[in-house]
Amino acid sequence: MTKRRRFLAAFALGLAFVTVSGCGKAPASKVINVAVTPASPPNLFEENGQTKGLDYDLFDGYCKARGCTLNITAYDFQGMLGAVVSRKADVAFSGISITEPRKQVMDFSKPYMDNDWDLVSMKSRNIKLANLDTLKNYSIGIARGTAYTDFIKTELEPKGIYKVDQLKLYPTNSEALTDLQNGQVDLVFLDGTVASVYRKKLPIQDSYVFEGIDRLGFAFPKGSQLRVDFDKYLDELGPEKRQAIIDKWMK
Amino acid sequence: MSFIEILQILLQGAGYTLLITFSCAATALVVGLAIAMARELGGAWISAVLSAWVYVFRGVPMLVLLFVVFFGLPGIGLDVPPLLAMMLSLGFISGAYLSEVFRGALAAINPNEVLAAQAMGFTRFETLRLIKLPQMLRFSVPGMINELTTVLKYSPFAYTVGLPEITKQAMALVATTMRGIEIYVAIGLIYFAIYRLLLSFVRLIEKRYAVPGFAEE
Repeated sequence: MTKRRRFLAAFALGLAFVTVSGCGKAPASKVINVAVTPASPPNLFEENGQTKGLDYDLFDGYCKARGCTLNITAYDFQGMLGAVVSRKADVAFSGISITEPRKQVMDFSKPYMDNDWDLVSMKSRNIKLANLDTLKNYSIGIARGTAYTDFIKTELEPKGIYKVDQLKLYPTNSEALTDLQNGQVDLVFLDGTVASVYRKKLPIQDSYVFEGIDRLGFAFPKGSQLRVDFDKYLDELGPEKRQAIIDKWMK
Repeated sequence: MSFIEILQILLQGAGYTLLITFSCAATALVVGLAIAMARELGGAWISAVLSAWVYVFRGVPMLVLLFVVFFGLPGIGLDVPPLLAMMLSLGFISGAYLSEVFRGALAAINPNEVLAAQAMGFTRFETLRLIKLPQMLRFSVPGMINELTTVLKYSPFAYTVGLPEITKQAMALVATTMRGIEIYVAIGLIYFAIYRLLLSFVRLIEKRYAVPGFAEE
């Protein structure tokens, strides 16, 4: 009986500890809580347990300049956005597109890079779309929670080009691409950045490219002071140096 | 990268998977037992409240509850850490299921034993503690194993709230290597090994507390 009681007591204590430790928040500390999704190369990924990528380099540069440290937590894409909205994280970055619905619940930095959107297919299928007239004949796979759904809903659906209902949703790009290789889906929506990485590893090609519609930004909670300072840093960095960081990862 | 190396990288998340599974299973046991006991001892209205509770927690999708707890509660000033959020969502849902397993096990107890206990002057609490609970726990082992396994398989939801368990390792690895099939096979093997471990653990307890001559199969 005593053993069982001791176990229960330890359990209750553990529960209390977890609760209490979660409530304390250090005021004005130099530790920045970062939310990422390490499934978005080259913007953000993990290699040998290290967080790496274009976005990381940019924000790490900011942190070095301002003397702060990063406390990085990996979420899936929806979790990452949720962490910013609920202020669990001070900033999120992993190739996040700036969209109107997102702007209503979070603040974005200045766009740090333009991004094409590619509809990719297997080379063996040789699907080439000159225009969007025949798009509705193909199935399209996308990663859940990404900006494409919104784009299709507001831009393509009203014009009768493609219906959101026709989309096949996947947890991340990786699963969508696996299904593409298996022949279960005809086309997959990818960021230009992501596509540049996967083209080296998979026999895929661009079937159609949407240009100049997508810009990437760092996401911050509403009214974030950190965002103001980070925008200042992007200005200090200047377009040449920023482009050099982008080129380092894109080539 | 060899299959062994893939396994090694994935195993870095195994500690978290085990931690999540055990904390949520422990929460589920406490919640399930509390509900089962309160139903036995409480009156009609407690029973009605608990039935509503179980109805809600069995019906609400895991991800919805997790989002409400982890991302919603900070809105009213309650900052819930990830592991506690998992315990309050997965643990509570699983607890609701377990309480039903316990209810079934209680119904399987010979009513004559309860009558005999009452005739001997046992209080309701004594009847529960000495006659019903010991039998109920033994009867519910198969159902509990089922529920523990479910908890294990729901543990990847923890990645949504930022706990780097095995599935997170796998997704990060697939993103850079594109070797999905090998990696997901590896992850399947690891889950199977953990399941096997849980099963042996429960069997050990079952054996330790088995009453000779009672409910032998």
